[in-house]
This record gives sequence, structure tokens and C-alpha cells, in this order.
Amino acid sequence: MKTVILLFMVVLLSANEVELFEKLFSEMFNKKEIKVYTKYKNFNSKILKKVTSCKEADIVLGELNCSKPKFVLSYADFKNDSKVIGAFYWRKGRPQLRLRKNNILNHHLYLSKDFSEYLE
Amino acid sequence: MRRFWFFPALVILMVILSLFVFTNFNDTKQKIKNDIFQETLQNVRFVAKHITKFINKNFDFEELKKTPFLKLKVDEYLNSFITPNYKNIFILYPKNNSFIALADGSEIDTFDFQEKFEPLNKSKWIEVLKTKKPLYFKQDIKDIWTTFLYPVVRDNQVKYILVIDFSTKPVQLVENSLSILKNNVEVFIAAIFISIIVLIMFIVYDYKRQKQLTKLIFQLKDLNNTLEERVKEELEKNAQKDKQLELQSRMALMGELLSMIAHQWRQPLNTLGGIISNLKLDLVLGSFNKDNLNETLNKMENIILHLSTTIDDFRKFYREDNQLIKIKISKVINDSINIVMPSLKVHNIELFIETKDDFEIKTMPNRLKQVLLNIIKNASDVLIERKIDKPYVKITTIKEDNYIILIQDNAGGIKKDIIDKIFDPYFTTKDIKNGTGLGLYMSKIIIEKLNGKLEVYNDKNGAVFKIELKEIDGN
Repeated sequence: MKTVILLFMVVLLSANEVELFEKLFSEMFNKKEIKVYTKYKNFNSKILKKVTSCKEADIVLGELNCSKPKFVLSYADFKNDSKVIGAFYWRKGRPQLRLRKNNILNHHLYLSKDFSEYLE
Repeated sequence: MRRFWFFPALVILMVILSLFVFTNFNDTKQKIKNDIFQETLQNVRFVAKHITKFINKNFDFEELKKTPFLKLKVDEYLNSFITPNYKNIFILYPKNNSFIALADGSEIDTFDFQEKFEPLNKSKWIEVLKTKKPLYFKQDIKDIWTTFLYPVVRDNQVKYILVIDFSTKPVQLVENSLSILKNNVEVFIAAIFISIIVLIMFIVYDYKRQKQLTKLIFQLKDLNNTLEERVKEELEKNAQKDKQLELQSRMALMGELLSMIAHQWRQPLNTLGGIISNLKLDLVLGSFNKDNLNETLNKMENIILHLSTTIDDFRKFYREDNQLIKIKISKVINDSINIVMPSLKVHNIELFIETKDDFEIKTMPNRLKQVLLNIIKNASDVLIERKIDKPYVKITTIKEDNYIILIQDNAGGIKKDIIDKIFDPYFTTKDIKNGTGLGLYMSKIIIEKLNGKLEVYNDKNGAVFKIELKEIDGN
């Protein structure tokens, strides 16, 4: 729990969301390298590897047409797509993390108790 | 001593002044910031109170939770309060350890109906739910925005929280403005500290200097205390040394005198020996008569008388005299010559005496004779050593302003490189058997004691010793 709060603080102070994604995705997939299909530009990570096709990806970041577990970056996408496993966006200058427990489980992904507060 | 305490006191005063200025400035700055912030907060409280009063009066909370249309109305109302100083005004209500948006006054980044919200600093929000009291906190240390949480309580439960993100820019502006003053204060304090450092350095330097000075004064006092004693000691040493030198000189003189007595006595003793031999021969031959014996005895008596006179002369000469007496200069010269003459004759050295002025002088005759004898003896030694043809010594007396005695020889003079040293003690050109190096030194001392001057120079024939005596007053 403390780790996530700390990460939230880091995200808030440095606006480096990638660190949060690293923590979150590495827990979900329990892998050292996670292939991310995204159009996200500022993506400089040692754990997350950006891929260009849905086929080779472990997860999709952003609203892209792909059947893999999807994590979106706005409240609107989160609200409109019931299949997404979670979202990260900013509201009133505060970072917001939303996770859908059922969808996560449907994709056979794991999540520690650190994130239980954000599950719905 | 008073000055020594003044500077440390000044340093302490400057430190206190610096601390006072610094703390006073900081306190004042803090107070201004606090006052402005409290004023701003008071306005926010008033706005929050006003909004909640209006909502409570015009809307039903439960209806509001269910009806999106009512949310829009409240949104519109809240929007009327949005100004550059109020960035966000929204209403949330607690639900299952989370918060759900009820209304939002912002035109952009607006909450959806019943949107879940995860606040930062959640512990503060929980605290508001527990205490049911308003609370504010800064979003970020560097940020100008402060969040104000205003709980609305009904039936002893927090129904919803009105959130206002308000600007503390005025505080920031005051801080920025004060930073100019702060810089000046810092420069002032830095200047004071530099002054303090310089002052401390000066104090340390001054203290060291004072210490040195005190030490020197002590040394000086000590020196002054012992100076008289030391001078006395040195004078005694010098007197002792002079006495020693004089003794040595007199011993040397005695040696000279003995040599001269030997010369003086040789002739009469030979004569006496001859007479005795003749008497013995007369006795053997039987040519002994009463008249001859009487004549011979008279001769012998005269010779013995001469020998006795010679001894007396030498004894008188050697006797120390410290009394001034008036005496003719010719008498002094003749007495000296009588002693040295036989020695000069043996080596065929002629002696010329020219007493142009036979003046009477008040002096210590034996001392003066000692000087004359020493100079004549030196001249004689050099004449013999250099094997001068027709050697002579010439003594001239002249009466001018002072009494002058010149002793000249024709030995060729004193070498230039040693002429300045011949009056130095222990300086001699003779071998160790014949010279102590004290004769001329003592001569100079004696003449100076007699209130005179002894000088030497070379003329065309040889060395000239000039004794210049002044009239001495007293006994």
C-alpha cells in the first residue's frame, strides 16, 4: 500500500507515469519484461518494451483496437469501454488510478494487495 | 587593557545585532505571510459557508445524488465562484472508503456524474470525515495551490465535503517581494560577519602584539635592572684587563731594563775586573805600593758608586708614580736617555736631542719616561734589524698650543698596511722572544691618561712618533 502511495507521490511530483505502469504491469504479468502495444510517445523503460503490433504485445496501453488486456489513459475511455482492465488519468490536478477486478481476473492476471484500494 | 576588552565586546554586540536583524526579519516575514494567508483562508471559509448554505437550502442531498440534471444546476452555481484565485470548487461525498463526485464548478477537467475520485493526501480527507471539521493543506510544497476541505454535517455524519483549491499567490508575491529585502538583509549580515572576522583577526593580531610588547617591556625592565650591574661588571673587567696588560707591559719593561742594566754594568764591571787583576799582579810581582793602592781604591769606589747610581736610576724609573709633578721636559728626556744610551752606543746608534723649547710640564715623569724609553727602544730595534747605515734617533721638543715631543728615526718608516694597527694590543712585528705587542698599546694608554695624544706617521727618513700633551689642571 505504502509503495503505491509513494509511487503516486512520485507520479505527482515528477509526472513520470511510466514508473507506475512498470510497477503495476510487472505485478500483473509477473515477468521481467512486458511487451506493451502503445502509441504513447514518452516511453522510456527498462521493464516495459514497446511493440508495434497487437499480436506480440502482452498488454495494450491506450485506446487501440486489440483483444489483449487493455489499460487506458482517460476517464472517458475507461467509462466507455467496459472491457478495459484499468485506467490512469489526471483529475483536478490529481492522479487517478482505476482498476477493474473482474476484467483483471478474466485475463488471468495477478495483482497484489497494494492495489486493492483502487479495485472496483 | 581597556581597549582589549572593548573589541571582544564590540564583536559580541555585532553578533547579537546580526542575529537580531536576521531573526527579526524572518519573524516579520513569517508574520506577513501568515496574516495574508489567514485573510485568504477567511475569505475561502466565507465562500464555503455561503455555498453550502445555498445548496442545503435549495437542493436535497439524496435527490442530488440521483439526478444528473440537478448536478448541472449546482455545477452552474459553483462555476459562478470560479476566479483566478479559486481554481477548483467541487463537492464529493464519501462512499465505501472512497469519494464520489456530486458537483463540479470547473468548465474543463469536469467530474462526470457520480465519478469516483481518489484524492491525494487521503489521510487528511479521512481526518475531516472523523473530526467533521474543516481542514486545509498545501497540495505541493512549491505549488501555490492550497486545498480547503469543508465538511457538511447532518445527523452527526459528514454528508458531503466541499472542496476548494484556492491560490496562495498573494503570499507568494509577498515572499517574492520580501526576497529583495531578504537579499539586502543577507548582504548586511554578511558585511557584519566579514567585519566581525576582520575584527577578530585584528583582535588576535593586537593581542599577540600586546603580548609581545609586554614581553619586551619585561625584558627591558629586567635589562634596565641589571644594566647598571652589568656595566659595572664590564668596567671592572676592563679595568682588570688594563691592569693585566699594564702588568704584562711592566714585566716586559723590566726585561728591557734588565738588559739595559746589563749594558750599563758591563763596562764598569770590566774596568773593576781589570783593576782587581792589576792589584793581584802587583801583589805577585811585589810592585805594590800605598799610593797606587789608594788611587786604585778610589777608582774602585767611583765605579761602585756609578754602579749604585745606575741601579738607583733604574729603580726610580721602574717605580710607579701616580702623582703629577712639575718637571722640565729636558730632565725627563735625559733620564730616559741615561738608561738607553749604553744600549744605543753598543750598536753605534746616534742620538740627537733638540730641545727648542725646554718647557716645564705637569706630568707623571716615570710614566712619560716609560713611553719615551719604549719608543726609543723600538726605534733602536728596527735600526738594528734593518742594518741602517748611520742609524740615529732624534728627539725634538716644541711648545706650541700644546707640548709636543717628536721621536724620529731613519729606519725607513712603518709599512702602510700595519701603521694603523701598531697601537693595537698584542700587535707586534718582532718575534715572540723580543716583543709582547703591549709596549705601544700601553704607551698610547699612558699618554691618553696624561690627557695627551700619541700619533705616528712616516717622514722621508723613517717613523715619527708625536707625543702631544696638554696642560693638566690639578695636583
